[in-house]
Amino acid sequence: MSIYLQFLLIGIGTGVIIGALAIGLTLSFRASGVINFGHGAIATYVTYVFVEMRNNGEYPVPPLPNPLAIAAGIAGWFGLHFDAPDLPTIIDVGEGTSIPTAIAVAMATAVLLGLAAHFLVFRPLRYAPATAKVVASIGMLLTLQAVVVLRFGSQAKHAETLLPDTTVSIAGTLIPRDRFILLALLLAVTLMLWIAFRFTRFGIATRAAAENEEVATLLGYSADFQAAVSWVVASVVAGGVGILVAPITGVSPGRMTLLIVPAVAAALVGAFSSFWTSALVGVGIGMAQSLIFILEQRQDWIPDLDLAEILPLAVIAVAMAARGDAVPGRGAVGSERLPLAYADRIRPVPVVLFVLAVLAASIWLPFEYRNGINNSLIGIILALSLVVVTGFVGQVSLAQVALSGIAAFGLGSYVAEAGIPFILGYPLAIVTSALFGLVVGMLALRSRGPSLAIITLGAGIAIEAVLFRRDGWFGTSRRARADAPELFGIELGSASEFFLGDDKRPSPAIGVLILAVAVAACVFVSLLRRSPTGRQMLAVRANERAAAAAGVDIARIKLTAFVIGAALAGAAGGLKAAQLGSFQSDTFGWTASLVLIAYAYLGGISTVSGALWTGTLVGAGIGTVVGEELIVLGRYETYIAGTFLIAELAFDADGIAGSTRRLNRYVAKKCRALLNRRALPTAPIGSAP
Amino acid sequence: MNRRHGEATTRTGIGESPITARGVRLLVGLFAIFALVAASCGDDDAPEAEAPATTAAPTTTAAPAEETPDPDDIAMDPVRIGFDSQEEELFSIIEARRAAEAAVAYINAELGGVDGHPLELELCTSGDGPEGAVACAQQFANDDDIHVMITSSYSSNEAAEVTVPAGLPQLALANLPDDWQRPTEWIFDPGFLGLVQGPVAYAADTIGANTMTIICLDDPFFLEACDAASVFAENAGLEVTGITPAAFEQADYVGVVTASGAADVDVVMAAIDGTQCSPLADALSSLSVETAIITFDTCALEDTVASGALDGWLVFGASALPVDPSLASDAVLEGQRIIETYGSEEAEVYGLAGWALVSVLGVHAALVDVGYENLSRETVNEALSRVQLTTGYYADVSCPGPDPFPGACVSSLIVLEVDGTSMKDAGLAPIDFSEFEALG
Repeated sequence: MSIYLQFLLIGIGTGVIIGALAIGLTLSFRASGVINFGHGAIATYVTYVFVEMRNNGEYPVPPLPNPLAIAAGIAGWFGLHFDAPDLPTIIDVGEGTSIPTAIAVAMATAVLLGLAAHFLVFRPLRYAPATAKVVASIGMLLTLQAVVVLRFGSQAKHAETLLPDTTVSIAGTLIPRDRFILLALLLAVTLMLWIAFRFTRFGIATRAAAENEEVATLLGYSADFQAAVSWVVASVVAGGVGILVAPITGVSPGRMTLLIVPAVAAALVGAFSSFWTSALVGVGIGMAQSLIFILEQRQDWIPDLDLAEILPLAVIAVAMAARGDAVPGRGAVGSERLPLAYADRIRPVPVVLFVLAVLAASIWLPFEYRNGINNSLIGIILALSLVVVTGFVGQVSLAQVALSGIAAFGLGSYVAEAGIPFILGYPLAIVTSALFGLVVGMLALRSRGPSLAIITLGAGIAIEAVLFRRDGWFGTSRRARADAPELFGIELGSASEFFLGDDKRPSPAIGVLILAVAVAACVFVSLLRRSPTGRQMLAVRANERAAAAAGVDIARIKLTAFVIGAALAGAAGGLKAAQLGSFQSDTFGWTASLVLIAYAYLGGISTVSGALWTGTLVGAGIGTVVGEELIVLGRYETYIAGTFLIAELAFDADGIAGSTRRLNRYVAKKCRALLNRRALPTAPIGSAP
Repeated sequence: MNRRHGEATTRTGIGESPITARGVRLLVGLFAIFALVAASCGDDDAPEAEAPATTAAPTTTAAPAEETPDPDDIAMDPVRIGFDSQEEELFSIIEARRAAEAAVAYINAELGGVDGHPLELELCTSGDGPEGAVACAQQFANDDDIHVMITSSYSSNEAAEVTVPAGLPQLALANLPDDWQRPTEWIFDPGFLGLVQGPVAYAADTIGANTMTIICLDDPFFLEACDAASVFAENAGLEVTGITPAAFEQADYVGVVTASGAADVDVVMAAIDGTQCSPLADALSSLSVETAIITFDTCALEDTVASGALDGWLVFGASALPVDPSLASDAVLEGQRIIETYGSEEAEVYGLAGWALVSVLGVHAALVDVGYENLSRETVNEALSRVQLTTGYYADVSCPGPDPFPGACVSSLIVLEVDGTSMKDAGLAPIDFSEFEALG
């Protein structure tokens, strides 16, 4: 048998895993209309529970608030120190349990996770826009991964195989027998789901609810109940897959999460509704990846571009091209608006005073605050790129960090390698990033919502795989360097001398540069929001058809948003490169884009003030620095950030900026009412009217 | 127009909605949740009160104090060393911090600190990205009382952009030869090149292999090391039949093993990440490949070794990691004693624990060499350049490294053979740095 046929068969193992994840994604989408980026994390968590129960007889208790610790903390502020008893982190049941017990406990955990995902995360968001749901799934991903690391550590675990450990020889090719068993199990589960959703009352009602929730509700079906059951089934399938394939994939906190991209591609081909298509395309992707892998090994003419990794992206692109908006909308009873896009009022005096205050802080505050401010300002510029693309035009972009990396690597090449002065190299890097943004925008023209999230995610991964990791203008296999910025003979790097402030690092010089760019970006986006183009963007966001009917050129507006967004991302990326001095491809990896959009949504993705909040919240930003003064979160930081993100989404889709704005208005209203009441003349009792 | 919960909104999203009582309640509730979670998430890794020393000091040339004062009597100013612990995100290396804390407690309890002054770890935690590592480096570089820092961060290169101009000595992990060439960077770790050069020579000389295939993590740093390994192999007269990349997101390793031709060579070198070791072993076992496997200490994880999945594998690294005490030498047991006696309950000997332990001991040796009264970054850096450590549970440390790599302080690897669910000593593998220069 040809070696290429051999590798097609060998790819069944990978394909089964992708296919199984894909049907789980399809289930989640049917339940709540969400592309669940946290699906792999659910599989991972359940697998860890199984492994720990089986190997050590320990059941993890998720990190929970300890009321006594609050009392101890408050007492500590007053100088009274006592040790509050700790909550248990594990429930120890002795030696490792039997396989059936471990599986039962793990599956019970999967059920609870499914219910929690529905009732705590996605049910509150059932009317929320697609972006909010995508962000919530990212919040779930971050939270579950953090819990895994907190409770099980980040080191890999070994999982015993539950399936026969023998091989089958097919025309001389040895293939483990368990791959075929897994394939049979996948087909069986797919068949059961197909039957359940096609022929049972529950399944038909669930499909009906997905098509038109209002009608299904009027017919007496509880869409809520159906969604909860679907989430439970999706979690159980994810957990079951995780346990069965653990010996094949290994058990580590991020392993299954990395497989979500090809699974999304498979589910997309199945339009997130067909279990058979999702499963079979998943298997096909795995087999094709295996074939590409051996072709890359044996055929010199094939470019070394990680084609196996790029294949799912090609599948996504083809599916999108063939179907247009390939992810069907979910017919919810109501659909909540996107976060409000306030036109932040620019009051010159307060703005100037604020900027001067930040400038003074960037120069004279202690170095750790200066560094935090610098990181926050770069975060603000990056968040502004999402404000334009997502907040103003309603286009979800998961490629912004990759686009910022284009400018970072470009700046290194233009300035450090080609010797172009920074004053030219930096704008050139921004323009380069904008051009890449144009390409991403062209890919995304026909899509929005979840489809667009997938396309832009794919674009980000492709940029990272094809450019960043390879030697060239926009990447390196080693480390890239960026020289200290120099403007008019003045060096403005992190280690440059500056005539004001102290001589600690980072130098105030880099802070001044970053602040100048951040202010320019904020003013630009504020003006854009108020400009005719900005109003057209909002019109597109509200209703593309209505906007087109009103004469708005939809394609031009979308492309404009992507170009501006990419330019802003590039501005941030260039500054980050200059701030760090040296950097690697990982610095601009695709997972950073997921975290960015999560923080941006938390801060408020539709306004400049939201971007200010986002910058405050980003890792190593000023919020972190100040927060660390109050309480050391340490390795709990990601866990708390994830849970806070989910809670904020559930309570207020406008993010912190929207919440604080409303709170301000509420307080002002109450104050006015109070003052008015006191000012009213009161007639003395008994007097004549 | 949509209405929900009495809240007026517009489909355009341009309008503003008045706040509702529900909104206020939710907002307050949200912040209450945050406060509750934040207030109760204390660090459960805080070092506990350490047990007193009961056994002798290890066989280290780190100069012990002539008199060992009672730790309770130490009331002098502490000597602080910075420690950047990468532990906040997915790729947590918390075992390094725990081992470093144990080493500090051990030094204060048994070695008398530094001229009677207690050693103190100034902890700064960071995540996977470079921002945290840079912030930690700035914190230490700007603190005049800190004369040396240790970092377990993957972003030590970015941190070096801060520490080198500040003249702050940094003990870090190595990825590339550049890391060994900074004037203030000292590396008690063999680095990727050392990790592949030693095993190649061992395979050719000790195992007597003629052919080798390399299964390599598809990562720029690993691939560069694997390319270098094929050059080293050629120099050693060992034929490398191929380098097969294994992506980090690889779901199934059967294809990788089949493509590598592992069954048809004398030795397989697995230059992979720790998360890949168990599934690779599963694939090798499934396909009944019985070729000798050589790998790095990235695979020597407690759970993986204890499972027996790596039975027969040769593990090359800087730290000795026995599972079964009956197979360990006294020196190795001493290393474990330090961590078990002085570490927190969760302290372990796996991962980078050995590196952190020896890094703290090396720093201590340098500080004692300088003397409390003469501590400065320059003097500590100079003392680090002549640190010599022999512990028995870690590869010998000898600074400076061979020209032109002064920071390369580890010149040999400990070889361990996985025996069932334990490991046993299999000798040493010297690293020939002269071969690195030829790589360019």
